[in-house]
Amino acid sequence: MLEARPVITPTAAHFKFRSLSEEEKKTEAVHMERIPYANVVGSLMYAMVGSRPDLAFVVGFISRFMSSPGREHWSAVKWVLRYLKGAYTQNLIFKKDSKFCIEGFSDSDYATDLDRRRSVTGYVFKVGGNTISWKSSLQSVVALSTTEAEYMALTEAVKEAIWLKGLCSELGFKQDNVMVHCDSQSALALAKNSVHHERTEHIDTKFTQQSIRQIS
Amino acid sequence: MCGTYLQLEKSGCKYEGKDFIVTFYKDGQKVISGKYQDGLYYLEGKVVKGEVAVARPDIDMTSLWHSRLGHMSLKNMNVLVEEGYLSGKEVDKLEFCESCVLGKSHKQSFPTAKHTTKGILDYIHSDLSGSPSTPESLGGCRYFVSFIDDFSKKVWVYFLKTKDEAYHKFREWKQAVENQTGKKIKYLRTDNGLEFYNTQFDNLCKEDGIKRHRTCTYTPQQNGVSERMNKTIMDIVRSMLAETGMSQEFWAEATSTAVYLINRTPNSFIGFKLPEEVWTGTKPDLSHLRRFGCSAYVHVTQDKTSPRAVKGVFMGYPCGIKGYRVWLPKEGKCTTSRNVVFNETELYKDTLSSADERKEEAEKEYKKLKKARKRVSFSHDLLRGPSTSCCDLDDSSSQGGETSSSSSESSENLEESEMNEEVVGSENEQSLDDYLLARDMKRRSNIRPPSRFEDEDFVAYALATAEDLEEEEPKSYEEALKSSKRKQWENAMKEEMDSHKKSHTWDLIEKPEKQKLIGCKWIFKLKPGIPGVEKQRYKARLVAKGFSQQEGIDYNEVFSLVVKHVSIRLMLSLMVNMDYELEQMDVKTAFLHGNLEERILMSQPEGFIQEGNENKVCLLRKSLYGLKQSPRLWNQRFDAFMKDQKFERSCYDPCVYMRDTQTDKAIYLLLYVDDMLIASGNMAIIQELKNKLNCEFEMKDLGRLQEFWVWIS
Repeated sequence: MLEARPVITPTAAHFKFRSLSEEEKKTEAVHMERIPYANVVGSLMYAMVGSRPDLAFVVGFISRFMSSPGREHWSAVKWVLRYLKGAYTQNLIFKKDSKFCIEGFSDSDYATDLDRRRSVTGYVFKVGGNTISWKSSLQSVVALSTTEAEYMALTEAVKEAIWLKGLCSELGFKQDNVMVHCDSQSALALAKNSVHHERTEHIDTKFTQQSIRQIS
Repeated sequence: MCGTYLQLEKSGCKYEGKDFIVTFYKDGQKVISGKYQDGLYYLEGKVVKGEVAVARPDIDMTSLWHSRLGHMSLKNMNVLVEEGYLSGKEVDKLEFCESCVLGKSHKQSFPTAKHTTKGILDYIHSDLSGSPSTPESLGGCRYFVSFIDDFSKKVWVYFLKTKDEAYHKFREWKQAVENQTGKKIKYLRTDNGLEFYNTQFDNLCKEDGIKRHRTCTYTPQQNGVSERMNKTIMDIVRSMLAETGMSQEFWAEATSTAVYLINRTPNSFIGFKLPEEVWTGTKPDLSHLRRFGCSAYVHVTQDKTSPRAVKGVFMGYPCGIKGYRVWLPKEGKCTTSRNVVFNETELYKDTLSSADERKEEAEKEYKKLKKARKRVSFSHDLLRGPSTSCCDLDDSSSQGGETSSSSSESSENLEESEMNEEVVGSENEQSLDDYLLARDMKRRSNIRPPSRFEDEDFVAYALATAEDLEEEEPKSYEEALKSSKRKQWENAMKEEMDSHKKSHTWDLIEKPEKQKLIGCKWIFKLKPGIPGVEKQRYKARLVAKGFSQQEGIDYNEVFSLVVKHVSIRLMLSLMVNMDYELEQMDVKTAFLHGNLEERILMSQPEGFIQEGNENKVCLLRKSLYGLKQSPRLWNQRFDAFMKDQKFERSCYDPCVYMRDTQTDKAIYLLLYVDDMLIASGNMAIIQELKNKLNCEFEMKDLGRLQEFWVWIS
């Protein structure tokens, strides 16, 4: 991998994998015998947890196949390594910002898990202009629409926002409100006004609504 | 008038005569008229001279003919003129014809390159030949890489299983020739093949200052010397294989022989000298050459009644050995021998036709062996050797010490010795799988020290391990006592015991009945010092055998808290935004500070059992390393200390402590088991806290935060 050609994205659109079927597992096992899949994913995970929010999504993606990886999954892992080859000089920068405030960004990837149709929650938080908190995880509930997926991601982000707000105020930096960005108008509408709708009745929207009132 | 009249009438005019005037009409129109005078009609009319500009397409006859003749070249048209097919007037000078350019454009022909090399190894041409579809050679190779010295035109060939081996072969060859000649390679001409253009190869050339010449893409002509040589080689190989009727698997054999012969063939580039001659400076001898693929009878020493020779096929000249290589189809083996009788009138294919059965048998044998070889070669993937062509350069130790030495001793000069003579000489058999791979190169896996060294090896091993043992830490108390550093270890243990006494880690009490005892153990550690500055330190530590503790009886909580990563990064963000100082500290022997709540009994440490109190046991008051609850106890102890210092514990992250928030004196502390980060805008406050920590616990000040992730990992 030392001589690999760098790529500019941690993953690529053509990496859309399912878990292996029982039959594939048998055939792929032969090829994957000597491939340190788990080791590489583990190392990437360590980097991600410590200082690389850019890997969060892809680490979640490749670790879904940890139990029985195939060659195609390995190619995605190698892609990440190629990305890192080009991006290893990039790192988190802590610098002074004009205002010390909390800012969050939430997003979701709808039904990205091809096996169980689950969506991915993602958020990044910046405090004082510096990225300090990030997450990318599969949602435990299957979202039936992008609105739902976004809404759940927003909920996760709001939870983190509440925590950060509390910690900051405890540390003596009281925040009046926390800004959380969301790119889905429908999710925002749902969060602001709980129209009891047939399509969203299975989601309890109370938490986010209350907390949105609370933190803003 | 008469003549005029005739002419006019011929041109279709009619005339009328009237009143002494004659008028000519053509198509009813008056053309000319004449008056009668003196018996003659005088036509009235004048010839007006003038120039007329005619606009008609001016076709250059040359280009017309050029076009008619299918864009014939001017040269050929001139021939036609000379032969009288065309008139000279029509062929003159050919204008520029665009269609010709469009239609006949071709690549520029290459001038013969001129290299003004002044000595051997000044300029090397190299190329890789073969393809994945090439039949596998006996050694399993599909490619060969050739190196040509421009000055002498001597060729070396190495056979490869995969292209990436080219680098190793080049290195090997480079070292060999440079060592042999004492000269350095100066230029290397290759194509753009990736086998020559990878970082590894580039680095090698850069390091050794070899200048690279490469070709334009898809212009193999620029690597002409190599390409032409490949053709020459393959021509010879094809001819030899066709002549002998041998199967394609023998291509590598034939190639190495071909190269051997090419190096002994006059070359026009060097004034019809032999490359070998230019290379070495001495004239090579050709008298030992034999016909490739002819029948060869190898002398064998079997029992007295069986034949004294085995029939085989002559395969070439092994490298570095004065002998011949003969393939024994019956055994499927290759052998190198100098006791060979040749029948150059009989070729391999003749023997086949005479005995078809034998051929089948041999093929069967061959296939069997090939299978076996595949198995073998798999495990020795990297042990391939170069082929025979590099005869005089590679030393050959592959054949085993005995053989090569005896062959060189018994016959200094092969050519002089009589071939038919049956001398007890070198007889060397290799199985097919080693063949070609191992002929010239050291097979590392096969290298064994001569038997005289075998014993020494054991001694060396024993000495080495003994030395290691010296350096190693003892695994137990007994080992420490037996070790040569007994004194140091004893001192270390004493130190540890003293510190326990000082901190009042346990009380000696009578052993109550029915309570379980926990064992303890000494751990020894050698801390490497800094040479010249600090000596090695011998450390001993007493640990409890915590694994025998039972949950619920001996311990309840075990977990020690660690700070969240987000909190750390938040602190970093605070630091830059508020211009805080961030200092790092860690606690020495943190776990020894915990105050034990549970009643735990431990046996007395080995070697320090108090006399007269042999039956007593230790009632632990403080935590020891190895106890399950040690981390937890340490955390409790630290938490208590921080509360004493009026610090507040965050309820969002229990590892974050703070004091005097929202004032100038704000100070924060993050805890990660026994490591901590202290942040504050006021350095004096940090120092104050540090001092207090130092009084309470033994601390190590690591100064300003530097390697952050080392800290938490």
